[in-house]
Amino acid sequence: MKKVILFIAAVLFSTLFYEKSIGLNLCIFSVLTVIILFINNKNDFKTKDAIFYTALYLGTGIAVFFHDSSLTIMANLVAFFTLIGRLSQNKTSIYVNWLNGLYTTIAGWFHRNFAINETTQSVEPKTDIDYLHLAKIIIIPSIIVIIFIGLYQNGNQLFSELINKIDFSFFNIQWVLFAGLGYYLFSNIYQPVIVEPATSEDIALGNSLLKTSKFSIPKLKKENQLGIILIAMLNVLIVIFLITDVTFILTNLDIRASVFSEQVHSGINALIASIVVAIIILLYVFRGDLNFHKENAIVKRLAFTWILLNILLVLSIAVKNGQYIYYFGLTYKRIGVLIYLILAITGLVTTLNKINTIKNIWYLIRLNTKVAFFVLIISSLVNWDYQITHYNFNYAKSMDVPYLIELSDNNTLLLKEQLDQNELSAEHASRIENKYYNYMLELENNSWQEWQYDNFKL
Amino acid sequence: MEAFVFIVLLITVSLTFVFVRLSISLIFWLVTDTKDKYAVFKKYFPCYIIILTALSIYIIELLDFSYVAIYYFAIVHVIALLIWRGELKSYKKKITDFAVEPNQTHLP
Repeated sequence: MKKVILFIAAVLFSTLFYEKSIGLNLCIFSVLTVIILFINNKNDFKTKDAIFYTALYLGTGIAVFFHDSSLTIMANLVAFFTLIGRLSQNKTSIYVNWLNGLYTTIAGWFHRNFAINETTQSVEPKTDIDYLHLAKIIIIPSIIVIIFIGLYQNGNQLFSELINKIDFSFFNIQWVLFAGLGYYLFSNIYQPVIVEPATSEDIALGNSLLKTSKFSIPKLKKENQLGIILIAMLNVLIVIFLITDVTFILTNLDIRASVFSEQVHSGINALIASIVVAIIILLYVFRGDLNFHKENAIVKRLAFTWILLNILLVLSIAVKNGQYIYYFGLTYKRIGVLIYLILAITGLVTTLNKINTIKNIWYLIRLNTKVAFFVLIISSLVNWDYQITHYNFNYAKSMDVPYLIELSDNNTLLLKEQLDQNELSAEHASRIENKYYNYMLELENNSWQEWQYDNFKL
Repeated sequence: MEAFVFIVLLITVSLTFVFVRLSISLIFWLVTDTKDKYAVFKKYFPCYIIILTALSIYIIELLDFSYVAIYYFAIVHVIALLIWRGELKSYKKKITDFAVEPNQTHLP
């Protein structure tokens, strides 16, 4: 039964993807994957966690159908590995899920065939298939039948005509090999496996920080002093910086956009680096026994203050970026800065929580990787090309029309709509018309596997 | 011409086999803390196969997903799996090829 399901899935895989671009096929593949996984891992699907990750995976699959972009395809792939990894072991960190998912996808079948029984040190019993015999019973009769067909063709005119009518042109060896790849892929994933010792070590590794045997009060006093002086100085510095920064923003509300451009370009990279360094310094200061030192209240308060000031710094960058977007329009780079700022705030808040609740560095890595994953999934659900075009035409003070034209086809229909409503230069109008014509042609030529949401708007 | 293509193909597959065989043997030679091939397999096979696949996909992408590249690296993948399988099978044979003395219950 299992092999029949895998065979059907393989045929579907080749039908969906052979010489086809991405569209409805990836959405159907996501559903197919979930069905295969559900059939073989029913118990694992009873947890809310598994259902949640399945929903995320299917969500990204549907998003590919609505707006086919590289980001959405990447998110779908990451969600695929995460779901498989989660089914293999649901107590591990998300990055171990990725590792398990990746390994299962590449070599799950092979691993299962060599699954080691620890107690007996033997390979788990498998029914031996006599491949040689199987080859014999297929190849030898086939060769003999072909020889006899040749002989009978010469003996009977009607039989010869009948044989000549058989047309094998529909048979495509590449298609069959692609189906073979599909069979291999589904054989790998139908029962997820784990990578050892990474999985067991990750489970054993908790989130809490423990007091070490090297706990020494005189040494900690020195560390505490160093921490207080360092973080206090950094606090003073950041306060001065923030005062000048806020003054600049408030006194230059009607400033020329080019000044903001220069501010943002020269400043944001440095500020981004400063936030990363801030987190590294805090992790260094609170790396060990200082967390358990009774006199660490001051250094902790200073650290919290510094984190809050860094959050203010992030907000000030966000304001600058917002103004930059308002003056120059929305672009992928500017959205990237906003996403970075969201991740930076998360990093700062989790660092604050790590210090407050005495957690280890793995807690930070686990939580922040998870946040990064969710940010990727959520951002993949948005049709950015459409949103960029919509914002720039309706809200931005100025915009770069060639940039909008060079975006993917996801904004083509909106561009055409805007062309009908606004007056654009002849060159831009011609490029938009050209883009629209090519896109319409592409949509019309799409096979059902390549369908997108825009196909239904035709 | 066909003979030339066949010879080139043969040399390519042979060289590939030698390289893959060497890369796997190197793992077993370099791991000195255990003689248990299953332990080596469990610890190093996932890394090996993930790196091999990542490299293959990278090169396939560089070669613009040409069919030749896809088939070649599919063969590399299969060869690697077969060599690992061979290593484990020979080891299994070795650890099961020993005679266990039956309990001599009649002896004092």
